[in-house]
Amino acid sequence: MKRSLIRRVAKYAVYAALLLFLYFLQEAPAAAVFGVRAAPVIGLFIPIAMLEDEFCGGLYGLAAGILCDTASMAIFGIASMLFLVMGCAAGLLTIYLVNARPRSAVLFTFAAAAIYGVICHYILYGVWGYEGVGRLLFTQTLPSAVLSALWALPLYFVVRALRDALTEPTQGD
Amino acid sequence: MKDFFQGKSFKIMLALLVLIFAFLIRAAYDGTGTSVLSQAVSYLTTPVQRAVSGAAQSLSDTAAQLFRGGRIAKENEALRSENAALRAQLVEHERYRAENERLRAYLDIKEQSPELEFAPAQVIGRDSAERFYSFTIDCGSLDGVKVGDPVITAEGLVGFVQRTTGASAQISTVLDVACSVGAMDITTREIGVTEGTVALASEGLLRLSYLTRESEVRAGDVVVTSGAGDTVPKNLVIGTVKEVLPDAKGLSLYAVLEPPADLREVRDVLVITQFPGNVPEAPGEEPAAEEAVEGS
Repeated sequence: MKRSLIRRVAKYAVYAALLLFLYFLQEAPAAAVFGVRAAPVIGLFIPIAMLEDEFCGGLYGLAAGILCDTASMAIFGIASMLFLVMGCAAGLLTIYLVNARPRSAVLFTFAAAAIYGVICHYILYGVWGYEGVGRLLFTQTLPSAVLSALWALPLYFVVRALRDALTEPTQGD
Repeated sequence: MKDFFQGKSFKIMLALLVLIFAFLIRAAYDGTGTSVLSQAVSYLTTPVQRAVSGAAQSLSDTAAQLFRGGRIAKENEALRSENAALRAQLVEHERYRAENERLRAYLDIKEQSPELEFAPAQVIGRDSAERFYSFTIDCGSLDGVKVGDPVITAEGLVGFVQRTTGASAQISTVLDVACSVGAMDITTREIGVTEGTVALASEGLLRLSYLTRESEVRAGDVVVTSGAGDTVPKNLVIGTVKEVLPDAKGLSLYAVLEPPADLREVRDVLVITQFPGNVPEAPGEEPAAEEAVEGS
């Protein structure tokens, strides 16, 4: 019992450390591909939600959202609330609708990053009526969502390996 | 699904959602856009971000050098030819040197304007959701930085402080569509307002709007801040005029400006934390020209 608790705590600690590492990577000024920046933290909490459970996914989504809100120009709380709900939703969809597969992780991550990008775009620029900001959706927001989704593929396998290594097998397996 | 909504985990997540919403309402109510939570997170993450930013930049520079060896050699040859042509121009046009000295007097802000107070800062982050090269610096309210403070480099104005936490601040650049600055052409003394546009921002440029149809602004003119509204010190370089074009309706002209520094690659900046309403005029300023500006 104690050993399984230690393994669970270690697993969640590694997830948290990975989240922090990806956040610092995300914010590094040099981390851009042809001027487009990805959000790899989204590519992490979505697979966690799919491979663990909706509660875990919601909590790590909240943590990722708090980190993103700290660095974002939008008002605090937008990313936190969005990612909490998205993490929870990804977990529930995996339980009731789809199987936990890499392509599902990529699709969910793309959807989450696109929704977050569109909402931020609307709050920062769309609602103020600046001329020509619509094209930013196609030149920045969507490419950023695609890059974030690409991160989900390796991270899915990383999370799965960690889960398999640090989860105590249940009796009868 | 019904079990989930009746379970304890749903109630916990709902409580967290309500808590975050309360932080959001509080941030909107007091106008800062930040919260105690983001302040605390920024205290913890800023030192690490500073270190990671430096390491990532070193890696990026090394990789760039390895992959651009051939191109650097070609650029070097082109620059040598350009250098020879520029030397010839300098010899022939002595008055450009005199004008350059006059402009340096404006640009030498620290020595000419000791009443300005600065906080040096380093760029430590650029968020994935930002669209106009906004960035995060490692100075915050504890260093005297406030929302609205101008941010400059040695070359000129870069942007303004948009949000602060105790240990960091988010800067929106002059290329941002939401950023407008009162400006003046230093040669013709004409007044305008700089603003960012989506089309020009992608090329690292911005526009100087509200020039009259009779405007004498020309390519090569230097545009500086006018100091209007006391939101920014006077005579900070905003950019150089690239071209002058009629606006969409043909009623006025606008100039395309090129900032002196590449705002996409800025690494070290100064935040002007305190300045009086007007900075003292640079030596050699002609009073008649100034009166004409004030009268316009």
